[in-house]
Amino acid sequence: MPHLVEAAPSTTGLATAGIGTGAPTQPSSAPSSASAHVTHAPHSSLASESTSSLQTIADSDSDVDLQSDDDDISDDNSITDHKKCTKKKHRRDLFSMLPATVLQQILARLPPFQMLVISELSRKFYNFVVLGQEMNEVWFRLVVPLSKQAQRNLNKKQEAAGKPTAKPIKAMKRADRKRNWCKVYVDSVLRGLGDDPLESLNQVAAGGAKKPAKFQTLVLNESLPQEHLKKYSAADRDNDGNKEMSREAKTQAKVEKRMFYKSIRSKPKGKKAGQLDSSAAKLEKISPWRQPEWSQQDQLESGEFY
Amino acid sequence: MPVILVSSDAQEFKVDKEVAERSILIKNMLEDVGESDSPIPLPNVTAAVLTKVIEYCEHHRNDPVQVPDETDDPRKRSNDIEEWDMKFMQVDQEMLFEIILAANYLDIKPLLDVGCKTVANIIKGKTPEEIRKAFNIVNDFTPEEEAQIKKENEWAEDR
Repeated sequence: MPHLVEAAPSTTGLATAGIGTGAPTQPSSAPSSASAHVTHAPHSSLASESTSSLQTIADSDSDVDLQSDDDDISDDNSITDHKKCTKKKHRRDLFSMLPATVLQQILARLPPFQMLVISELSRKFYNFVVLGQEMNEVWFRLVVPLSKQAQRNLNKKQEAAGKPTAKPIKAMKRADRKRNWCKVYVDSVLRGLGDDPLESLNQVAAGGAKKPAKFQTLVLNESLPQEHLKKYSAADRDNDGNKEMSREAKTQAKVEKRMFYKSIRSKPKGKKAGQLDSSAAKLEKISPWRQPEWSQQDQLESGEFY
Repeated sequence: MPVILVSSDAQEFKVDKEVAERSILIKNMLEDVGESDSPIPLPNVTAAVLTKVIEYCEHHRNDPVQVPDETDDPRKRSNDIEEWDMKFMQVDQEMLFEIILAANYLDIKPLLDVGCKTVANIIKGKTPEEIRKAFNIVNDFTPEEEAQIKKENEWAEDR
């Protein structure tokens, strides 16, 4: 049964020592006890196997482990250098690959200004921090406690003045989701053009603070490949006329379809037989005022008259 | 009663049920399956990472279950990492992110919290260039875009 006594954790990637051994774990402990409880499924015995697997794991570790490996083979500098180079080449950007929920949790632990610094890293981070919905919630949460405090101050003032107090701001609603709270926070709190950030936040809540310089968000889209653009523009030039025609035809088809469905649709609920629906009733209402259609004969007569 | 966990590279780990149930995913699995000796496959976690995760769960086996409190500000809690946890997280970057991903997959909230706090502490106080260097992030802004974003951000003071 694996059991761990109170001990310091291992500092390297491998933390097998201490699990089930009952021996105290050292920060740089050797993974010798791993085979006691870790078994390789397809095989049964495993002193050598576990060492080899541990070796491969150690190989897969990046810079920190690499340095400890380097100590062992410090005699040969060229090998070390070569190893370092290859490791650096294979170093991946794991931070960008984290799922949005995890990134949100990490960034939510940073000061707001640092969150903006993260938006300067790359397009992905800009879109995530400034325009993303996950971070919009984080920005909202930053604004809400402040606005609650601001609300309390406002309520105190209003109570003192004998006026009714305003309702407190509640959880994020659908309408709040449409708003860019990063922009609200930066404009009202971080840029803080007013003396008191809470006061400026009140102004935002009241209908927009009049600040000369607002935080501008950029919409960053991946630029399309040049070939695609060429192809698209060529196709555009060729089909300009057809495009107009097809658009008209589409509109016509849409109108016809709508008319058809209108003609076959059942009467709305609650209407009596013979009762006109709203559009038909409107048509009926304005029909006496409509200009009469001129027949060909009328037109001829009017021509003669002039 | 021991539970057998199988990592993505087919290594088996025997752990106490109490320890395994620090993971909400495994806890739910065990509740669904009932009393069974069949191993639990964890295809998203390698043996090396699972070892670390088990080590964490073993150490925190008697900790009370965390109740999430929405009123808590995560910023206030970003520095309160226990000494043991801090040492536990002193691993290379790849392993750190692997542990975070595993904690997220296995639904071990305290471990995920510690991981996120550790990464947040790495980022804190660094310039964009330093962060890019630390995490090997490629700057894919055009010079104009970068200048504009910097211009926007320089208005924001650190309050």
